[in-house]
Amino acid sequence: MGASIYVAGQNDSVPNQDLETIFVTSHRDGRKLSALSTSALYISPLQIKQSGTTRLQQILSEQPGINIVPQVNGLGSGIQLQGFNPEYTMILIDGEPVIGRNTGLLDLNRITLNQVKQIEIVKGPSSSLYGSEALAGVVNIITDQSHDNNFRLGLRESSHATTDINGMGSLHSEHGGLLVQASRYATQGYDLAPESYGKTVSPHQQWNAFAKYHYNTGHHEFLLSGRYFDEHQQAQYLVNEIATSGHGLIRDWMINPVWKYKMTERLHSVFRTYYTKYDATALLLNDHTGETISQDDFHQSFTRLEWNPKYLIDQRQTLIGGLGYVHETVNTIRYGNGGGKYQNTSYEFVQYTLRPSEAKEINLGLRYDHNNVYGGQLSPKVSFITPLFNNVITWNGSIGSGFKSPDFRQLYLDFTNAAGGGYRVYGREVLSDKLIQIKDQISGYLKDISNEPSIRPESSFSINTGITWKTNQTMRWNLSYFRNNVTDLIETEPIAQLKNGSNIYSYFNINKVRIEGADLSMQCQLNDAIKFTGGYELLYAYDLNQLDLLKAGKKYRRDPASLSSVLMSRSDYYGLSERSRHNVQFSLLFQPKESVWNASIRMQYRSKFGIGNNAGLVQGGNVFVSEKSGNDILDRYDDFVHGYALVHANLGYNGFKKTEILIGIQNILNKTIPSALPTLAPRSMYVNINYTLSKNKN
Amino acid sequence: MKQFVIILLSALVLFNSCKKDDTTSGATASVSKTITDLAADPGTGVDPATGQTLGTINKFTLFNFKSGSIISNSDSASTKWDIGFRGTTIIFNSGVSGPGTAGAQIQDGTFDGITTAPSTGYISDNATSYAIPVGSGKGWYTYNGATMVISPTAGKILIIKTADNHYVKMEILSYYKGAPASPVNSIPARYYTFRYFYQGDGGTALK
Repeated sequence: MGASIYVAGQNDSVPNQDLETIFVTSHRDGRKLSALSTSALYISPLQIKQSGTTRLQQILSEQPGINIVPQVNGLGSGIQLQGFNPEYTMILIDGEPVIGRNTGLLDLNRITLNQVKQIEIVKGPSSSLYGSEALAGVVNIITDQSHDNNFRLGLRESSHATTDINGMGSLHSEHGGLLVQASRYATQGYDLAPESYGKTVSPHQQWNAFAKYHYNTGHHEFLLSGRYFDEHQQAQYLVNEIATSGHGLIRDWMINPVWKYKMTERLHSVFRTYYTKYDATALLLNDHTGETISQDDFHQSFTRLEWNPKYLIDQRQTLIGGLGYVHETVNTIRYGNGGGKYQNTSYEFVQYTLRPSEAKEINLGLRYDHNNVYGGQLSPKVSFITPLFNNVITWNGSIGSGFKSPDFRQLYLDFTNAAGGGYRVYGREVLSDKLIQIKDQISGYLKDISNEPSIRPESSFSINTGITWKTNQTMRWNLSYFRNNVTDLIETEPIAQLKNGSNIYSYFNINKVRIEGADLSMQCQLNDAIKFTGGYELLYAYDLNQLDLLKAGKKYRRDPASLSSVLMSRSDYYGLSERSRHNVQFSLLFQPKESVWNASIRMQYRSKFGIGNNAGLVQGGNVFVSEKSGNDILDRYDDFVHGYALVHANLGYNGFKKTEILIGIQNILNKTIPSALPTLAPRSMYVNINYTLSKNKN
Repeated sequence: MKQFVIILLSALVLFNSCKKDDTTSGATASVSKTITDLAADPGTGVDPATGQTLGTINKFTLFNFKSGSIISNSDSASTKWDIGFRGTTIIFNSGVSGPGTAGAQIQDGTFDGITTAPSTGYISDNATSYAIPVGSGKGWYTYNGATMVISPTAGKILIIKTADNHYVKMEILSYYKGAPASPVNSIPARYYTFRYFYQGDGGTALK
């Protein structure tokens, strides 16, 4: 770790000092963590450092109420926040969205933690500030900037022939500075099913570079940051008994110039510009003949301009506004000929804050997005925080709505499954044209689409509320409740039948779900050396259409002993798949003052969960799917993945003058579930060595 | 109310009789049976890559509900059989499939919950579609593309009018040899386990 982060890390070794941390994501304006009106998680520099990981996914997976879930098709995994699928959580770097949801979710292993200052997670919908995608919440990765002159070199060597080399340098002067970071990561992957051809996680190499320049004159502040990422992957598959090799290439980069201007004491402006590009190509070749079996590509770009003014009305009132424009393009062969598509969104938002006293606050926010494809969307949100019982307890809450616009795939896909019986899937925007084009091949229509309204964004209405109890200077409890009602979830539905017997599918606003739950967390500084954090989440997630069918007595299950059909009762319904009812997380951090040693033990447990029908395409072995009675609902008699615990530990030594060493073990119990969670890596050991040259530290 | 009690009593009697394999009471013999592992052209093996069955002979296994026995394929042009099985395809002795007047329809419910056969709505096999449609989610089964497993869809009860104009209710329990509770693709498929009730008196009561 760089010297600056290191110093910051020591500062927050007492949990309540975290509360003084400035958190920017929830209101697009600095707030003390202790005065946040929304539910949030904060990952401190010390936590990042002590976790020993260099990847975003790992650190997120260790947070209370966050689960790692496999992506549909088994291609990577994403995070589940408040019980939502990964595509409903917006991932930001310094407030700007990360793109490349190639098949729905973002591969969080693309994001390294080397230049990260802190990670802010807002739970609950945040569309009133961030627009589409911020339905479950927002993960904002705040990058560091130069604080002094230093240079750091890090090496991380771990199991499965995995090497991560990273270097960071920063130059700093009175008014600003430059921070540059670069890293290379290479792994041989691992194989959980050696009896089958190919590896579970294939070998891949990544390059990552980041630079940030900032210059501050007092009235003006300029920030210019850029990021580059590049990944090569080599995979081996058996396709119809033929040995094939896959070659994957992902490249993404971004540039983000920001100008902050204090026009007057009361009026501040931030002008943001952002451009990012994501390119992925995949090629599958026959190992013997060298011929191409399949080819895929996905190119996406995202451009945003935003003006973000802030007006301090008086000591107690603040007004924040935003005016922005987004131009997004996608080009892929999956959308057929002329695959280039675009969307434009313009938006305005406003947030009014009233702060009657230091610890009391109410926020009213409203955002309007206008999109050239799906039209307008209004997202309001109200949040508050107030102290109770002489400041021993603080109570916060928020009510708001979130939305997720139809993605490019749902609008423009042009897909024919040649291997799986020739079924077709068309995006809604191209559907009627396609039906006319192939009308000679259609034998019958299953749904009349002529009166069907055009596809709408998925939207949610949510309540989050919580109380925080500071029992004393060293212990803090938080209990919170959340409930999300989501409507218009987009699903595929058959609309016509082809003469070959296969169906034509398209996307429609069909499902409604309700996700509710409660979180209990506590942090405690047991003594000078030991900090304990623990968290528990209870989660209930149901498909409301299925609940209606259950109520009407139209759902059946299969009795596991007699195999006969039985009318299903409400209590037989377990809920949405991939959701565990119970999640437990705790960590013990040992950081004795004046000691050169530190250590940590972290544990996560999740109770049993089901695996949906789409999780398939896993390499080797039998694929795990819960459903076994064909009733399209997860009932208690279906097959479940058993609950499991992951335990990680590490030991650090910083007795050398410039070098720190951290050794650790991830997944000590070596828990793997190849059929259901192939991305759950087996036990691995690692050594991190960080060498720091700091002008200020010497 | 009195009538209701009588119906209930007779239902109890019948329910008890269901436990026996055969119920014979003179000329009007009702049959309640569970047939296990009826081979429906199982073939010689499975292509591991595609899940397709290999070595099939492409012939239906014919079955008679009254006798509860398999009928030789050489009798396919007669009305000796009611139903035929080949892979996931089920035919009835009717229309394009045979000389009889059998028919079938699917009702949502449980085997015990359906106590009366509808008097109309029986479909025969015709040139473009079978009485029980073929395809995942369309007829009696659901196919899972990820596990390549066929599951009988819970709550789908086949109501059949036989070649000799008797009513039958039938529930398919498994498509895999040995009727495992959690079948996987490696278990031999195309083996039907099903239970049925054949009303011997020709009436529509199915209990």
